[in-house]
Amino acid sequence: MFPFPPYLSRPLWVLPGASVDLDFINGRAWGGGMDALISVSRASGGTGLLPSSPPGAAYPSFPNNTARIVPGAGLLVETSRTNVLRDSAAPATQTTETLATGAWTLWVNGPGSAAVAAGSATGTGFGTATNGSPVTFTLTAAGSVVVTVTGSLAAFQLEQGAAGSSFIATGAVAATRASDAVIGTGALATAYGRVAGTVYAEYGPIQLNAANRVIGSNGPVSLINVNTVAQIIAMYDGSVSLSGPAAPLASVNRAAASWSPSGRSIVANGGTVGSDTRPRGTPGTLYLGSQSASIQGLMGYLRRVAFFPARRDDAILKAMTA
Amino acid sequence: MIDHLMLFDSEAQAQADAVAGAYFVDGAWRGDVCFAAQQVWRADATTVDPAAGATVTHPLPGWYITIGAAGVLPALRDHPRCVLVVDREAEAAGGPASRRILGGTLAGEDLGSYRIAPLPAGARNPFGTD
Repeated sequence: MFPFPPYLSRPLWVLPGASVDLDFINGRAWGGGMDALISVSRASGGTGLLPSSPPGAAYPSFPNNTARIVPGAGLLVETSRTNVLRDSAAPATQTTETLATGAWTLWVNGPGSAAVAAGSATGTGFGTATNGSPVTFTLTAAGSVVVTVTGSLAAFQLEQGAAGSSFIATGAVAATRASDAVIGTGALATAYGRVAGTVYAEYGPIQLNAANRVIGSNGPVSLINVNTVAQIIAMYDGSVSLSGPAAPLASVNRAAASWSPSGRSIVANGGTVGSDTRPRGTPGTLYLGSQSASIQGLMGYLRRVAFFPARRDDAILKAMTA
Repeated sequence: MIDHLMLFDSEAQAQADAVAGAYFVDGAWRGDVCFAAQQVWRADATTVDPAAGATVTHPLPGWYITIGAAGVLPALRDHPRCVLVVDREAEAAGGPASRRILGGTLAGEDLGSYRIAPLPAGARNPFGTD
């Protein structure tokens, strides 16, 4: 009997030539089962309710150590955050504990609003949050703030940072959602470890952040970094950063990077390809959507990731991401 | 999920510790398993702010961190700085303390008088709730 040609067993949805294709939007994987390709560490629960979610939206809740894959949206990857509001699924007016200085964001879900004002803290930018319109304020002196609820909110959240993250349910005290550490395993780790290869990633929406990793590793080496503030996409070999084109952030973004011993290339959204003659550096553990278990999280959705077992031409990279 | 609550004199001491310090990576506590800088207080030692009428908690001294794991980690459980080891799912389900509390120097005390915050999302306060 003749062996069954591999291309005939490849589903049509798989990107041509990919050795591994993780289609998080549709919850399917090629090159191995999803559980065999990624391992998730997160020592807390998590949810899929976002500051942008519609009022009263039903949302999934995820147990510890599970991938937060939301059908139609992708894999949600965030760093750790703490909701300092009590009983956050039954919003009521309250005064917080002492909050540290810096940027804080208040967001709500449901009909109504929540106004934040200084208690014993000092700061600027206080205001009223409504569904889809968070308030980000800055505390210049630590202390409490007062959150006053009007209407029938379904959820509210106050967290440190310049933008809100997914909902964290609380009870009598504040609660912390741990970071999502999504590690590539099996055939995915093998594909990442090749001396030459290409990676394609689709992501968004993500938070404005100075350093979001799309494809990173726990060494300094990374394949696709996005600085959404400076709107730059880059690749880092541990000492020299290769910048691609200016990458204005869209709600859905496509990026591709390739590497071989003779050089590397990177491009986003069909822009001009950036390339040089450096190798990509020694890869560490592959992280999807972060640099490590703690830092530079994507703070948004990774929609799709595919690895190819050869360095593809720059023209192909450009076409893949257009 | 097993939570190991550790008490150090300071964060610097925790970072320098041979066991706990292994969770300090790339200049940060591992965000996927660590809940750093928690506060612990006694519920029976709160006061009321006469001006605001709000309850004021008085955190106990020291620097607390919870390290979560799929199972009991003997190196943490047997560490002299480990004050409590809690089975989170057993805690949520209730039942006898022998199933919920798996170790730590506080295990023999009146745990109901303590509180801890912030909690890992989805966890119940091992010291009781208000």
